[in-house]
Amino acid sequence: MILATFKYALRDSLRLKRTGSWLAMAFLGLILASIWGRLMPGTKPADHYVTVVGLLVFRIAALAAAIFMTAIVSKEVEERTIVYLLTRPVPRWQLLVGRFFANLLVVMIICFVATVMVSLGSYKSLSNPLMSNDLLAIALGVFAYSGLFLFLTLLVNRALILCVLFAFGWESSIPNLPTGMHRVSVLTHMQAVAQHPDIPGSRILDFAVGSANEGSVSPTAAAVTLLVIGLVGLGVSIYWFNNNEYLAREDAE
Amino acid sequence: MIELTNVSRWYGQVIGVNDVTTQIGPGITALLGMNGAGKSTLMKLITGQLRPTTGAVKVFGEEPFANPNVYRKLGYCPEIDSFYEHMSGRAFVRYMAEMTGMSPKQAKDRAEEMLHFVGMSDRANRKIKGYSKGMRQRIKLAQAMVHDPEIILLDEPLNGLDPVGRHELMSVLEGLANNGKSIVVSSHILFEVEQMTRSIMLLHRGRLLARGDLRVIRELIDKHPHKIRIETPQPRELTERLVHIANVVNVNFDPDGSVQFQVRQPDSFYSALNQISQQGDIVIQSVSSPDNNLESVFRYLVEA
Repeated sequence: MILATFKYALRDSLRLKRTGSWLAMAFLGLILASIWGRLMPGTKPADHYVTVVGLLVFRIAALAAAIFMTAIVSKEVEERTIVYLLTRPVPRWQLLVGRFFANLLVVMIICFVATVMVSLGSYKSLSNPLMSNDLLAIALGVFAYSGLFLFLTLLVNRALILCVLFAFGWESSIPNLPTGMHRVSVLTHMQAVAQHPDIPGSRILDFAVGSANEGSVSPTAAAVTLLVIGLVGLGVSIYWFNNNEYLAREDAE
Repeated sequence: MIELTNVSRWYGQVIGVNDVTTQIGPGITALLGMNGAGKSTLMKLITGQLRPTTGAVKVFGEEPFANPNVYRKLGYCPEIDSFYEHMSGRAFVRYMAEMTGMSPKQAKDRAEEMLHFVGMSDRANRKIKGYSKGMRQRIKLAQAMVHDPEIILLDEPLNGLDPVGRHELMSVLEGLANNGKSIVVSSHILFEVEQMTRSIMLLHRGRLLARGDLRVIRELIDKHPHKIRIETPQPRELTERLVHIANVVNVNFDPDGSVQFQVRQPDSFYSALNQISQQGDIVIQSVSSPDNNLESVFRYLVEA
C-alpha cells in the first residue's frame, strides 16, 4: 500500500498547477545566469553559476521543501480530506513515508531542473565541473529541510508560515554568523557539500548567499549532518503521526 | 461488532461524549440527536479518528485508533463535504480502492461496480468540483463501500439528497443490512430515521439517553401530554365537543384563532377528531402537532 500512497501523492504533486510556478522559477535561473555574465564582464562562468545557485537554487530548495511538505498532512487537514486517508487500512507510517518520498522526489526534480538551467545559463552547456557536487548538496539539503519541515507541520497548525520564516529568516541570517553559530543552519552544510569556490568581489554577495562566515565544515561531516537531520526528522514525524489525532480543520476546532 | 464501554471524550473543557456504554450489531442502527449531541464524535471514536479520554472502544474486539485491521472491515462516509476537487469521481473511488490494498486492476473493477451501485457510472468522469450535493453524497458512499466492509458508518448521509435519492439510498442500506452488514447512520431528523430503521440510539448533550426500538420511544412520548394544534373558525364549539374526552388535560386558545389541546393518549383524541370532522358541522382547517419532533422527544426523555 505504500506504493499506492507514493503513486497518488506523486501524481498529485506533479500536477502542472503545483509545479508550474516552480518550473518558471527554474527558468528564471537560466535568465539570471545569462544576465549575470553580461552585467559582470570579465568574470568566469563558474562565478555566475555559483552566485545564482547560491542566491536562487538553494533558496528554492528550502521554500519548495516547506510548501510540498506542508501538503503531506497539513494541507489534507486544512482541506478536510485527511479523513479519507486515515480511515483506510494503510498503516499510518506507510501513509506518511509514501507521501514524504513522493514530495521529496518532486522537490528534488524542481531543484535539479533549476541547477541544470543555471548551468546552461552560465556555461551555455551541461559540462559543468561544479554541478555534481551541487546536485549532491541539493539532494541532501532537500532531504534535511523536508524531514525538519515535515515534523514541524505535524506539530503545529498552519505550519507553513513557520517553515517559510525558517527558510528565509533563519537560513538567511544564521549562516553568516560568527563563533560557530553558522553550523546550526542547513544552508551552511549544503554549501560545505557543494564546495563552491570563493566568489571574487562584493562582500554583500557573500552575505546574500550565506557564506560570509569564516568557519568551515568538512564536506563529509556536512553530508552526514544533513542525512541525520533528514532521518531524525522523518523518524520523529512517523512516531508523532502514529500517536496523535489528526482531524479535518473544522472538526478539530 | 462495535462495543463501547463507559466511553467519554473531552475537547478541553467541553465534553463531546459522556460515559456511553453500548453495543452495535448487524442491521441498521440510527444514531439520533440534535446538532452538537455527540453523534459525530461517537462516529469518530468508532472509526478510530479519535481516542476516548476514558473508557474503551472496541471494533471486532480491537481498538480502532490507527488500526488497519479495523479499517479493512469498516467503511466511513463522513459528514464533511470535502474532496480532492481536481479529481474525477471515478479516479477518487479508484484511489480509495487502491488505498485498501487492491491492485490497480482490482481497484478499477471494484470502483466501476460501486459507481454503478450508487448510480454514478455515467457521470463519474466529470471533476468532483462540478458535482451537485447529491452526486457528492453518492461518491462518498461509493468510497465507503468500495472495499466491501462489514460495518458501514454514515454521518448524516441524507443531507443534500433529493427525495428520489433518499429513497434509493434507503433501499441500498436496507439491502446491505439484509446481507448481514452493520450499518450505523447518524441523523438529527426523526422522520428520516423512522423510514430507515426501528433500532435507534438517542444521544443528547453527549449522553446516550435511550436505545432500542423506536416504538418504545414513541410510547414514552405518548405517556406525556401531547400538544395538538387545530385551526378552525369555530374554536369554542370544537373545544366543547372534545373537552369531554378523558385524556384532554389542558386547552389553550391562541390569539390567532387556533386552539391547542394537551392530551395524554393522542390516538383516542385523533379518532374523536376524525368523527367530528366526518359529521361536517365544524370546519377543521388544519391539524398539527408541535410535539412531533426531536426536540420534544429529548425534552420528554430528559424530564422523565
